[in-house]
Amino acid sequence: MRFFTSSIKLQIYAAYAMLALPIVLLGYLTLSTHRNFSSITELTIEQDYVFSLTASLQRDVIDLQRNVLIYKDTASAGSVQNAEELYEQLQGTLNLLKDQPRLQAHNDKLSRMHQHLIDYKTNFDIVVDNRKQQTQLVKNYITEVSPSLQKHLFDLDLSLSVRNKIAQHFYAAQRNSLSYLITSDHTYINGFKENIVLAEELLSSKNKDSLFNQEIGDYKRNFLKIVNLKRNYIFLINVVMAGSAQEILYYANELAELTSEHSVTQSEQVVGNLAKQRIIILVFVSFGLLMTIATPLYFLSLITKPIQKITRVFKSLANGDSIDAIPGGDRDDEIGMLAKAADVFKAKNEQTNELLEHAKQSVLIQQELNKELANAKGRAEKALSVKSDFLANMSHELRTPLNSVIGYTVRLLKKAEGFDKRQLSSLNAIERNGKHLLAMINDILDLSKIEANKLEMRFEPVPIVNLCEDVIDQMRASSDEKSLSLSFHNNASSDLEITTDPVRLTQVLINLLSNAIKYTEQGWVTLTADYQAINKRIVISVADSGIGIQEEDMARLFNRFEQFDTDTRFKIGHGTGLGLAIVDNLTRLLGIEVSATSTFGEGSTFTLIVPLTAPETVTLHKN
Amino acid sequence: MAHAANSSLSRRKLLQGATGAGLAVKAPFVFARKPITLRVLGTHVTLQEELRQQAMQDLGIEIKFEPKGSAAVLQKASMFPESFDLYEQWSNSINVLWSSGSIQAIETERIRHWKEINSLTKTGKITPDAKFGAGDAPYKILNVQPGGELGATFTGKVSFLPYVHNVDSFGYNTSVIAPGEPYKTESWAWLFDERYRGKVAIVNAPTIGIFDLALAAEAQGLMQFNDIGNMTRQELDKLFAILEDKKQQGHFNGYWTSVPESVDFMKSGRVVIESMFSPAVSSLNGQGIPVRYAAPREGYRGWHGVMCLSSATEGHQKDAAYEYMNWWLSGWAGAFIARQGYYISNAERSRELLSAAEWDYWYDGKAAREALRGTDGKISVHPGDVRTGGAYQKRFSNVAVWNTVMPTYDYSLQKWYEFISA
Repeated sequence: MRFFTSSIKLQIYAAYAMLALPIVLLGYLTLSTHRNFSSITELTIEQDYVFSLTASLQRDVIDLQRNVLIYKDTASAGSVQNAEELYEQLQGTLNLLKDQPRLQAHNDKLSRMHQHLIDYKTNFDIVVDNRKQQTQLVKNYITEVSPSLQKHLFDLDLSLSVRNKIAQHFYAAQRNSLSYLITSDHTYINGFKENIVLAEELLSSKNKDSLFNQEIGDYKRNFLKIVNLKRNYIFLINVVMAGSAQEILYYANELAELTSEHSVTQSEQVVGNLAKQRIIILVFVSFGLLMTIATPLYFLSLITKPIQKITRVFKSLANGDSIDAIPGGDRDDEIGMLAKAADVFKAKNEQTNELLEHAKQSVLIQQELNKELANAKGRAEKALSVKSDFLANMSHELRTPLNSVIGYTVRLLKKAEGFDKRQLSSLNAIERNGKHLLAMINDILDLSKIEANKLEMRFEPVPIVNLCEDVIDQMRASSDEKSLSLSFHNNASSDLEITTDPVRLTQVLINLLSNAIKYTEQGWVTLTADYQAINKRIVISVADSGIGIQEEDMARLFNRFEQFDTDTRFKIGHGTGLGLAIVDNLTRLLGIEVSATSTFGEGSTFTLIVPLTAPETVTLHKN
Repeated sequence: MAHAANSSLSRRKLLQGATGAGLAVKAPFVFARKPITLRVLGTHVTLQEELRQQAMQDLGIEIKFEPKGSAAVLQKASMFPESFDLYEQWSNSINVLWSSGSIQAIETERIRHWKEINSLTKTGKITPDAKFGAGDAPYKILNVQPGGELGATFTGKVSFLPYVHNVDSFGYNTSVIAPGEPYKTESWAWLFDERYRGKVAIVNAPTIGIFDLALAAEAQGLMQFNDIGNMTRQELDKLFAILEDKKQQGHFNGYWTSVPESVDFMKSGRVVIESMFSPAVSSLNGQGIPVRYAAPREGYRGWHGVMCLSSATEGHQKDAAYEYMNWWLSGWAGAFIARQGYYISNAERSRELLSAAEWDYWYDGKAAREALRGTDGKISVHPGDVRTGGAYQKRFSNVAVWNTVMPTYDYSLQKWYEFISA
């Protein structure tokens, strides 16, 4: 049984086999019942057939006997013909009976009947032959032998009285013989013989004619031959043939009875079989029903319920509920395997829970760190804002006196005639350093404002080409100062307007151009405007033939206070280091992409990709 | 008329069974002195192949057997004497043959052992106090009288050569019918016993069966015959009235026409008692069916074989015929048929060819000292067996009636038909 319980598949097969078994057996029994019914039907048909054959056999035998008796009396050709036909018919019937499979066991009887029939026919042929001979002999006896004898008697030399006596004896003999032929009474034979003997006695003394004696002998033998023939065929008909006929009738009856008995036995057997089959069918139907009910119940308990339990287990496991034990874990079949899988699942689940717990802890820690970080950031931003505010305020506060200083210096320089050369140089130095300081302060202020989110952007439609030309004009003085070629290459339509903050864009361009001029000792600086209609943007680039930027510096390019090396700082001298940081911040606010390429020692190119419209986050400032 | 058609065929068949090896193939190697072929017409009882071969060997002549049913041979013999030289059948056919002129007288002088032929056919009595037996007792029809008729007075001319003979009665199945005492309780009356109603069969032959039935009717006290061997029409009417009455009661089951048929009747249980010929009894006993051949207290129905000489046979052919007749009485044939249960008229000559045990059993009616074999080489008699009816003399002293063609034969044929077809 272990083999079967070890696999649900096998059990299902077994269950189906158990369900199929009664069906197959029922089918077989139905067939068998059908066979029984058809055999009983066949039996009845066969029986009827045998009955009809035996009945016709008996009828034909009686008919044959009748015809033979008619023939015995009349010698009619018709009765011979009838007898022949009946004989053929009987042969046929016997052959049909011999072909009956049920009568195989009684073949000996059929053979006997057949032999009797053959004997009957053989004897009848003899009868017909005898009867014909007899007819011929009788005819001869009456029409020839007797008249001839009479005639010869009268030829003999005899006295009248003797002749008359002899003639009377012959007449008496003739009368007796004919009477015998009619009545078959043996006394007439004796009468015949006596009269012949008397006639012979009368003749013997008188007659020497041996020829006549011979004739008398022939006469006597002729009649006795007729008697023999008659006796013989009557013996054949009355004894031998009648006996054969009786035996055929007897066996026909016997066969009918045996068939009837056989049929009764067979019927009883079939009925018995049917009753047995009925019981067997009942048993199988009950068994089938039982199996039909038991199988689902069995599988319910075997499969469905355990699966439900395991499903609940899986659900619980999925819900993360704790499970004490998994049902069916001790089973060897698929359910057992499922239970083991559930067990594995449970183990994994527990593992996952632990990990989850760890993760939760980590998240909590993270969140606290984040909070701290946010606080720190807030504090840092606050600090930055404070610093920016401070710087803004400080710048403002610094600019006011500085402007005053510069203003006064400019006023002094306007009245330069009062001052000597040294004084003028000092005043110029004051003015220059003052303006530089102011620019620095402005830069710091701007940057601070940007970082403190206090820089207000004013977007408006701007004729970009004009803007660029204005910037070139502003920068002309610086480039001329270093004898650099400064040129503007415009590829855009002069009336192209873009939406941007013109002040800040100008600031960006000036920063970039200032840088270019600042880091170019000789050669050229160009500003290029390219309108790209497809991308709805305008690409503005600032290129120079200056010292360029080293590759490793490119990343730090837009950081605050980054001037590349002390050498450069020394060479270039002035500058706050805030220029590109401001550019970076402003372009971000303007929605402009900024990038730089450079070949160290050959020059740099800064490219601005300026959208035609303002960034969506920005509200358009209308004049 | 004698045993019904085919009966003799079956008798022979039974007796011979499987022929002893060598006998049938033994060719007659003696050169025929004369180119003679002897034609013997008869029944299977005596026309047995072993006898033919032995006779041809001993006589150096060609012998042709023409075995037929009783009715057929009689018919042929009475109509065509030129178709045969010798005719072998039963004494009841003698009257027919003699009166039809088909046979000629046999001269006893030419029969070498005539003197040895016992008194059964010569005086009618095998012992001084034996019954003659009613009907055509052979001695009555043996001698050709000066007037040409047949009679008991010896004339040196006989109508037939006496040779094979036996007595018949009825057989009964001892598993159904309690064995009776021979000559005391066993009776022809049993054939009419109502206890066996529906289980009785009679041989289908008026010249034989009618005597079984008449003896039964007499034994039952139903009627008396003035001369049972010569029934009158009135007696026949009375007898058949009784028979038809019995038949109506369903007393008779069947009428057999051959020995195998009578065997089958008994073997199949169709009958428990019936007219029988001795070979049928041997056969049934051989098959383990306990059938006893009764020795009825009223006496047996006797039958006697006849060998007749055709009226058309003359010259060398006739000499050969006499040779054959002499051969039959020369011992070998008598011993041969003795082993089949038949008797020969000059038994002493065969005695030297039989063992003492055989003689004691077959002729003296003593218990078999040893197992005896039949002509087929098989054991037919077991040690201790006793022939029913006893010794030859005892049996032939108790012949009630001989198979006979009675003067009322024609009438009996009619009544017989009515009886079996009723």
